[in-house]
Amino acid sequence: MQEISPNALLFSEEPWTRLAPLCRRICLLRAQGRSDEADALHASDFVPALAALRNDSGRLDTFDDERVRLLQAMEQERVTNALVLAELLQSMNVNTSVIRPTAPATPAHLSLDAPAPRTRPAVAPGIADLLDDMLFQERGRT
Amino acid sequence: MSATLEKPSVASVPSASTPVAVAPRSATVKTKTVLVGLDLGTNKSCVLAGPAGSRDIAVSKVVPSIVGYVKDGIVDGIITGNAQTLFGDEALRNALHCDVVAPLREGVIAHPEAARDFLAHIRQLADPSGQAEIRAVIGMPANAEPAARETIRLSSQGIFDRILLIPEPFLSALGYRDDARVNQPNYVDPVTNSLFIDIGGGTTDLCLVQGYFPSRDDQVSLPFAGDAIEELIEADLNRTYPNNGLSRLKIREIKETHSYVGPIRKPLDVRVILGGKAHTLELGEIVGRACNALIDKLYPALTALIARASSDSVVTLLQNIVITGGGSQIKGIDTVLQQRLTADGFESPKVRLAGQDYKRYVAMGAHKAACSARENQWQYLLG
Repeated sequence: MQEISPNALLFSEEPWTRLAPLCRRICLLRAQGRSDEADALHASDFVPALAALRNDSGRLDTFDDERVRLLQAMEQERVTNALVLAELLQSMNVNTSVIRPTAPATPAHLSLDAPAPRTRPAVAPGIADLLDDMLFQERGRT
Repeated sequence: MSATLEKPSVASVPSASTPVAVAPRSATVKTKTVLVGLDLGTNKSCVLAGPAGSRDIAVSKVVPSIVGYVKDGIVDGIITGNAQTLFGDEALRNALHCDVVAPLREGVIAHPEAARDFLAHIRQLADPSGQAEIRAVIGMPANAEPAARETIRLSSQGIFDRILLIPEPFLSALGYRDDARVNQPNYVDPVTNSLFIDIGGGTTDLCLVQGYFPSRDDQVSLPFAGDAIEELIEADLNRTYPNNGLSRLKIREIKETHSYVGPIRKPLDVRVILGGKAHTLELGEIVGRACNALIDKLYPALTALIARASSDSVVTLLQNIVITGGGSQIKGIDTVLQQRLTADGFESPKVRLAGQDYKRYVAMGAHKAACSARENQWQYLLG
């Protein structure tokens, strides 16, 4: 079971519960390359919701910029993690419809537990493939 | 955790003394995208920028990584346009009237507010209209800690729209690669099998580049580079010539002009002005000792990385050791490293200098990476 982050508890009450889904949706749209829709949702829903909360004098004490930042960062992280999981599940399902937890999800040369020299490919892969390697390594460290 | 905030317009980028605010995004529709390759260096930064969809470079600048905050009470007209914040050469030229801040130390951001101002300046260079979506690939020291990476993300919020952080020595290899010759039979592609040594101001980064993205074990970052050499020269100068009064800028100039490694060279007479009078200082030993200290730090890391290469690749690798960054201008550095490798029994090593574009390779690699990155590889900064 996934542990609940202490940060998540900061946002378990109003008004944060209203902002979080909006924020998550915007992050998801951006991650899917749907920037126009993300911008539109940001302008039409997120900014007005934020402005309304700022103008609500009863909430000024608890409603600060740092916390908004934290919320947005947390939602972005959730979306990123979900995408990584989706990617892993997809690669596990290439040859079978059954999810096999032990199936190799990544090339052997990306194993994070193996500091030994890796086999050098005969031809260098494209830059985007190298960046995939980099991003995979970063996810393995977080 | 990633920094992900909505983006204010450039005009709303906070000043050094203002906390970063979560400002509502402006309604401006961004009609174009600019790709930026940025070598954010401790002493100098290089920015290359061009429109998305092509590899053309419209902006190419090397800027000292300096922000100058103009002091209170400066008479009107002293500073061009009565600007309050100056950058790069302009800040250095007006150092007398400014509080000068170097945003980076040892390759990572040390003063986040100054870094934000500096990045906003970089953005302005890349996109004077302020209307474009900016996607920036930014070089980081090899094996930069997560906290350092997060500081760059936070400092970029509201300035760049999307970023990718990539280790600098790997970007050097990408930048050094001659793409037009990659498929030629005699061309040795540095991305396929090479070892890059990037000697900057704050860090010396080494990286084994063997056709896959280097793992943490393939990279070494030493917190000893140009700045550390200057500190050694300064300390030695103060011992040999007490009260010499030479500024750090003057010491940097001496280092950049006279640095060398190998046997001590004498005489190395340097003419300086002290108290308004010309003096000649003999600096052969002082400069040589400081620069040779770099070799002593660098060499064990170099051999450790060579040892990581597989037996079928190491001979070719030894033919492709490339030195780049400002430290590549230290006289004799290629020869001394090659001689030490040979003396230690390595098979026909060949150490070469990256060449005249040494200031730009990281940014060139960053721009190439920006041109090639897939949509889902960018990190969004929602400023």
